[in-house]
Amino acid sequence: MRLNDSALGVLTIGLGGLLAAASLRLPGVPGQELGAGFFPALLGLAAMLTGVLLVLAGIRQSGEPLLRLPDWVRGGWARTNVLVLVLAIALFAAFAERVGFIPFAIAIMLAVQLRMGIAPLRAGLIAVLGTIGFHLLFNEVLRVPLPAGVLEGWV
Amino acid sequence: MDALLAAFGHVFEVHTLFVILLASGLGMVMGAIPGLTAVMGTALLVPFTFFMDPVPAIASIVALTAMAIFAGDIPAALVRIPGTPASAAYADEAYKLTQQGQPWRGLGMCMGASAIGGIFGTIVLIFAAPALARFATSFSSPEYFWLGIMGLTCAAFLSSGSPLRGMLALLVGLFLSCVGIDIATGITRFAFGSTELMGGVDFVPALVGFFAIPELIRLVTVRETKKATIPPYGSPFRDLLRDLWQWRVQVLRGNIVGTLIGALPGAGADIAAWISYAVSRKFSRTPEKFGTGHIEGLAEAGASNNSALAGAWVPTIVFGIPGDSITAIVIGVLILKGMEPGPAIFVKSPDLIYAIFIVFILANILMVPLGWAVIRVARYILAVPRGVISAFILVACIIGSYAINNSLFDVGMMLAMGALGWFMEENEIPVAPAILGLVLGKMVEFNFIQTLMKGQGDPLTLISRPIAAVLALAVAMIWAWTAWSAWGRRRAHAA
Repeated sequence: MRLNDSALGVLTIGLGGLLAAASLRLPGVPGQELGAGFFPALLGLAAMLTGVLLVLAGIRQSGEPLLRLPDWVRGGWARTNVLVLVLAIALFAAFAERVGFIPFAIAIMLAVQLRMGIAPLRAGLIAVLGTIGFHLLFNEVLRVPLPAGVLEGWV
Repeated sequence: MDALLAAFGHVFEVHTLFVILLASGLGMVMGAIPGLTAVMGTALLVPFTFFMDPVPAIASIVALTAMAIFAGDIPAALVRIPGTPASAAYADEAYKLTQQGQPWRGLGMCMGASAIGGIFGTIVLIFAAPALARFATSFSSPEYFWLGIMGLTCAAFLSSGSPLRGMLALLVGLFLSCVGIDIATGITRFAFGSTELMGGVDFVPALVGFFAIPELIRLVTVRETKKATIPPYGSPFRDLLRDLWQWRVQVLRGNIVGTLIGALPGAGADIAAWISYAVSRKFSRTPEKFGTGHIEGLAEAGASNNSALAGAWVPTIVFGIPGDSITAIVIGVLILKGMEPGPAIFVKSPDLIYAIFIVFILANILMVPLGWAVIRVARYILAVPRGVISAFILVACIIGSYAINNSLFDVGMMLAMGALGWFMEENEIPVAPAILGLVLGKMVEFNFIQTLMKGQGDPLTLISRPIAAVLALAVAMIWAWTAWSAWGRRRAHAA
């Protein structure tokens, strides 16, 4: 998702302006002239200035499309792969507490491998062994309490 | 002297040695697999370092990166795909040797030159760092403010072709460092009512998201091409000593150039390799042989990228200004461990500094036997399908982000930072300045506000001390030079 310089500049000016406005609305501290909003407000101003310079650079550069999408957005196979990747992380963040690390990790590893053309039996074996490896490393060696989920009481 | 003995004690503990060996093995494998870089390896290693003492934590990063930068040469030589960007400069050259039926010569030279380069860089680090640190011990908040600004400036302006994009990356990082409770006033900023965000944007999920997710997307969106056949090859030690002796001047020059470029903030191993390869060709008596499987450039650039790795640590530990992306991560790890990099670290924990030196030497010596072993099994490593690698990296990203605070919120944060990192890469906005901004942001803001308050809001307080004024002048000169060269480029472009 590549924006041309002008579009990137306008986006930067907008976000910088928002940041500056939000910073100036932060409450001050009595008896202290520089409040919590001072530094982020400076950042917002700097962003706006950078944005203006980007827009100026963009004016000179002609013929660049406003927005260029990466090739994989058009191709079905690669697009689905990215979707699987994003969904895997998002669903893990949302449901791992209830489902548990082990079932989730097996599902994720299986899904990614199958999408990338690994034979199902091999993919399944690698997913299970890999998950056990991760579980042992983090749960047993590093003592990170991974969410047990549906396997509560078993692991 | 006591500190040196203590350092030896730290490093030669069974636990630390085990960590070094493990990280070395991991670095070799990650470097040898095209698409997995030394920076990504470091990012994925950071969650583990969280559970270690400072010495093994830093040792694991040193060992992993040294091995990965060397191991990147292996697929470059065997199938013409550099394992890490640092090997790209001479991938063609090394592959030509393989095509001529002498793969061991390219592989051996890469291994020998890498080890020598790494050790040379370390020796420079050992002598240069303490001397610079002595000079820097009298610094106070205005100096630290300017040092921070200088580090951020260098990272922003030198790490990419476009200073404006570098600046943008830096502002993103500095903004992220503002999220959460402000240490000076206790006021919560930009948390949008989320209790998790009140603690700020955690460094680890941001790091994993920024560095690993864009690479992962690249990994799953490109179809696996048919594997190139790897010819059988003999021991990398065959002809190695003869070649090293023949090209000793080139190796030495590669060492010097590499260390200097590494020490330059913002430029790392990959740039060092490109420059050394070009230097080698320029000074060569037979420049026409370059690109035909000639070992001369290989020797110089192979030594250069590994010495750059050590050189990058000089500004990192002395001033807290990282030399490259890897040392930007190291600064984050040191801060996580409660050790602010900077001259004070030489007084507060000299044993840690000595331990870093020892580990560097140890890792570069280990590179020879481990390198030999990995070269032997390289054909099997290169045969691991991309689907399997992607699956493991994805789970490592998720679990690594989770493990720091045992929080699923951090997994979501990693995804958000991954999306941001991907957008930045698509737009050629460098990621390293953003990470640096996130890491150094709080320190810079604190010193800035503190200095201004000391002078009752008078901005001239920032340059009231002589060294601070010199540093400010240096920063101003970097800004002016960057603006001037950008302006010059534009005019040349228009003409």
